Amino acid sequence: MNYPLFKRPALALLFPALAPTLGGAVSVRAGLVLGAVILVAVLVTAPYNVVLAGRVPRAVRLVGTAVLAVTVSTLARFVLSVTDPFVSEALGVFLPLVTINVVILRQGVLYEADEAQPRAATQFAQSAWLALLLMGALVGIGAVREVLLTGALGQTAILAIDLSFFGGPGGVLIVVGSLLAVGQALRLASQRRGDASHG
Amino acid sequence: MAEFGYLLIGGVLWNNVIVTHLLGLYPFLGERPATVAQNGILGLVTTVLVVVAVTAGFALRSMVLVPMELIYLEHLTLVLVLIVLLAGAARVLRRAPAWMPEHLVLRVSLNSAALGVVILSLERAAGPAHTIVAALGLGLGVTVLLVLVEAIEERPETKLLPAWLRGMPLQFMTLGMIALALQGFSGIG
Repeated sequence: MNYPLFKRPALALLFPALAPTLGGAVSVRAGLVLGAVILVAVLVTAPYNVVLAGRVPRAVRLVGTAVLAVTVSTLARFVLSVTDPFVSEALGVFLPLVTINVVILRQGVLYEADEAQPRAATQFAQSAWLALLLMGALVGIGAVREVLLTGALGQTAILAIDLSFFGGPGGVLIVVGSLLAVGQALRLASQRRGDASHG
Repeated sequence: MAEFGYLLIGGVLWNNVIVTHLLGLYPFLGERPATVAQNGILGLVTTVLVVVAVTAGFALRSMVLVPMELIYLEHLTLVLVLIVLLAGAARVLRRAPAWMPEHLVLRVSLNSAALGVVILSLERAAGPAHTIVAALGLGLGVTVLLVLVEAIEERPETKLLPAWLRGMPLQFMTLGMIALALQGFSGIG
């Protein structure tokens, strides 16, 4: 498949994989739950893909991956509605969207599997590592939004002023944009330093 | 009739899924077509697929899932409906003209807006007509934002911005500001 996204390094898939569930990570707890569901779904779909790679066409594996992922998210909803109804209600539409996270992460790894043929264990480890990184990112975003929305992280008060505006959908896009700008500025500065030391 | 207008305009403005749920951010975090027109086509194809998926989903829910008490299979059913529709669209668009965005169907399928809009429309609206109009409004809302952000980024003034602000940071800040502006319409009706 000649799709540019799947030619990127596996790590670069994290950004697009964040997209479907970014809005659901409104607190550390919500980010953790979403990340855990994604991790379980990736771990469930990994052996299926590893075993069938080369034997079953990619399109068929992709459909199977999506069905497995949505099954995991449905089961997770059942468990959450009993154990933590508040988080289950808050995650709402975002739980089934885990399917798309998993498809993006798995499809990237599948592409690499078809091109470079890494060993099954490497594919499995790479899938799990990407899902763990995604969980970390969701927990981080959840923590930032929790602080902005409530002024506290768990029971610890952090902000003395009300910044809940920046925790809402519009505000959080500006916050994420600003954080990305800082990251880009640091990357460009280190690039310039590197160029100067080489020159 | 006014209700339908409210659903349609609300989906584009104050109920826009990108603004309210941060859904459909994939084109901004992953891959986006290169021109305003191609972004518009991507949004419109997403809208058409979503409206067809919502119609099929509503029919399946009211005729099969609810009578047979299988409502817990709703999300699985919707994913399968979308997969069938996307496979059909891929077949139809196999020989798409050059002015259409490349990998159009793959872009739609990797965008959470499609599945998200289908689920939200079915959750929110009551009757079949309301559900379809709600889906149409939400799909058009995604199209409008895709076109708006690309149109802003294509303006020559953005080339004057510092390098650290260009690209993804600018897209997110623009989206954030558009989101705040659209929320201002929420008092209508």
